[in-house]
Amino acid sequence: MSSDRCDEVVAEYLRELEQRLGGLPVLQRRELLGDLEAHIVNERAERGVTSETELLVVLERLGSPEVVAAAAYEEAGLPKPAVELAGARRGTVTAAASARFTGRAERTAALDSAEVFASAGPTPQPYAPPPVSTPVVPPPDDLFRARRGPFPPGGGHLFPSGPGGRPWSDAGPPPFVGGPPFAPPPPRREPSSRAWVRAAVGAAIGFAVLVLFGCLAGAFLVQGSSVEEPPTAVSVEVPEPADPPVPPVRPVRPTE
Amino acid sequence: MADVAQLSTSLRRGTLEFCVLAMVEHEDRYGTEIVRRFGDERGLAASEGTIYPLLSRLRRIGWLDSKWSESPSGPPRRYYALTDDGRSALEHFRTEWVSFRQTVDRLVGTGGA
Repeated sequence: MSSDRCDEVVAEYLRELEQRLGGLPVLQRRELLGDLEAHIVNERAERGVTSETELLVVLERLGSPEVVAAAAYEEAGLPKPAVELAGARRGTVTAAASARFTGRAERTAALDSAEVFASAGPTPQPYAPPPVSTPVVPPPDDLFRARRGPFPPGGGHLFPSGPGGRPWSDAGPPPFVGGPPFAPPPPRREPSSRAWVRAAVGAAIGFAVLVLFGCLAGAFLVQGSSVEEPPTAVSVEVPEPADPPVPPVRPVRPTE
Repeated sequence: MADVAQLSTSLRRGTLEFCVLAMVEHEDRYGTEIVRRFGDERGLAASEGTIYPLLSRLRRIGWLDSKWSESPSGPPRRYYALTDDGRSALEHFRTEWVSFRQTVDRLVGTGGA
């Protein structure tokens, strides 16, 4: 029983610490959490900690999550996010109370899903839910804290407004969906403006083709008429010398 | 006015990391071992948990190397070792520290005698 209770206390400690480390790069965060977890396990084993009271002494020597997190930010050269623990964090703590160490994933994942994927750590499953929680992000009026998953997309619209003079800067988030409307306008204008050119070119090509066909047809007619004449002449000649072996003789000469 | 805690923090900053380097200068030590040692040093007044971020930074800048090793009793341990760069940094600090300490002692009147 006491062992379970101790596990709970440790999980709670690590969970709160992780919540405070949201502003750290994922690898540093994982490393620190892993180090502290190993430290606690070591201490419990080597000091024979069995009661919650003894465990609290170990955790006290370790330092409060706030103190450890502050040191982590300082060593990482990053500003400590003052708002880190606000709102959502608390809720997650109670919700994931039974999830022990892996429970942290859910909240973190929602905050920075990109990092979560990069970590590909031992807790990939809990990360699945993040996508689902992303819709919650739309209302980013929460705070401008650390980084919300949506920032990548949202942040994008800040820059695009300048270049290309794209209209989405006015409407903010919704305009994004309106991205498609953009595509249509250009195509319509282009086709209409180029229609005349295309029609003219088509007509010219058609005319040229007709002329060509006309010329070819004329040439064929001329050749055809000249060809027809010989046959008549031949037919006339052939009947006359048909009896003598003139035709057969001619072909025979070349073969011999 | 800066309180005592603030003074301690200020003094610790910039020197604690070299104490860590010196601790693994001749022998590899695992995290908990290093951390306990600092926890026992009253003068440093550092929470044990604050040493781990420091170890992490020293490893990232290449002054320490670490590797996990099985423990005869209990979970695997992460052992830290001094790298060549870390050794150079430690030597440089020792030289600077002696000079710095002598200057401060002279100016503050803590030179003894």
